[in-house]
Amino acid sequence: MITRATFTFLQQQEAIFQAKMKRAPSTSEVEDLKGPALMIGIRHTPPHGQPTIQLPPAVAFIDTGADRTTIEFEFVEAAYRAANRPSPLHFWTVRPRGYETHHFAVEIGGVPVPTRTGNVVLLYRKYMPGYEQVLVGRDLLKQLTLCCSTDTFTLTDPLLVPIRSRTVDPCCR
Amino acid sequence: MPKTYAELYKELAQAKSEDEKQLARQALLTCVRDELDSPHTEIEQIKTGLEVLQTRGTLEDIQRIDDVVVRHSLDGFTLNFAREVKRHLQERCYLLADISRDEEDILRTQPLTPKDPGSRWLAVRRGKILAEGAERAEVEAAVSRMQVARSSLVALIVPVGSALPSVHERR
Repeated sequence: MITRATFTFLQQQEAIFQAKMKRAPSTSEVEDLKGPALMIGIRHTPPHGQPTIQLPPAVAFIDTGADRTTIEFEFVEAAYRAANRPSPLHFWTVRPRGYETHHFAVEIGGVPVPTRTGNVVLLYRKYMPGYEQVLVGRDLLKQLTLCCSTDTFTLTDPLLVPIRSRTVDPCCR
Repeated sequence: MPKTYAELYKELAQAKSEDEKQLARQALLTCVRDELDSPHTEIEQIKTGLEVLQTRGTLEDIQRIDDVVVRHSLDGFTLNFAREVKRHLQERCYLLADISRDEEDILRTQPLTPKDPGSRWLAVRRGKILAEGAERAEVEAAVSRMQVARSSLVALIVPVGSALPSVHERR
């Protein structure tokens, strides 16, 4: 099992909410905003000869509605600024509203989980829905088993779990 | 009586301690900013002020340059210089998202043609071609070499013909 958690609205999400909305969420809003959110790591693998940068833990949302796993562009930009490294933009593929790159990989519970293509999308903050820095999309969830009930979710690496134990849980897809 | 640029530069050159240098730099920047914020400043003074900002400007001067461009009717050369100084500051302050958006806006209105018809990839900065090549990797390498000379330089690499590929994804 990589992670198991109840639906929540993390402090980090609240900070993003406040930055976007210029106010604190109300109690009822917090109840509605609770979902499959978790803290993840992001591993940087730069092109040959380029320096590696460290990224802080990021707040992520398990987003089955997203085709692609997406990282907020400004989150990555801030890490590069802190590291004071030359701009990496010329290594990334320009796409509408941001970039696409294979230089970043998501780590859930310390386990690196590649997306189907190995690439992630970097999307400008103003186009990021919700209050997270990472949206874990179906291109990554495809590699995992996601079990979701009304208020709990579990992410499992199917290679690490015997088939018999997976068949016990009826919500596994 | 306000000090002249020559006097302010002299003070900066004569400053010995880091604190004195910082004060002299701040005095110079304050003088430049006051002049650029005035609607009555002559074009020559604007050029001088922009030169100072190019090397010593900070994040707050980016909006100031935009305001100068709007407030004054600058000739083509000065306008281009103002935009170059703004880009310098954006690069130095690591405003990659702002740079990307500016670059995309330019590319949408101004398609680029490579010198060599065999080129399939272009490295662009402020809508101008910095490097071109048949393979993306060689253009990436060319930009990396330019960054050795000036580490803050930012360039985008786009394919010839379709600067912004369109995608359709759910979300």
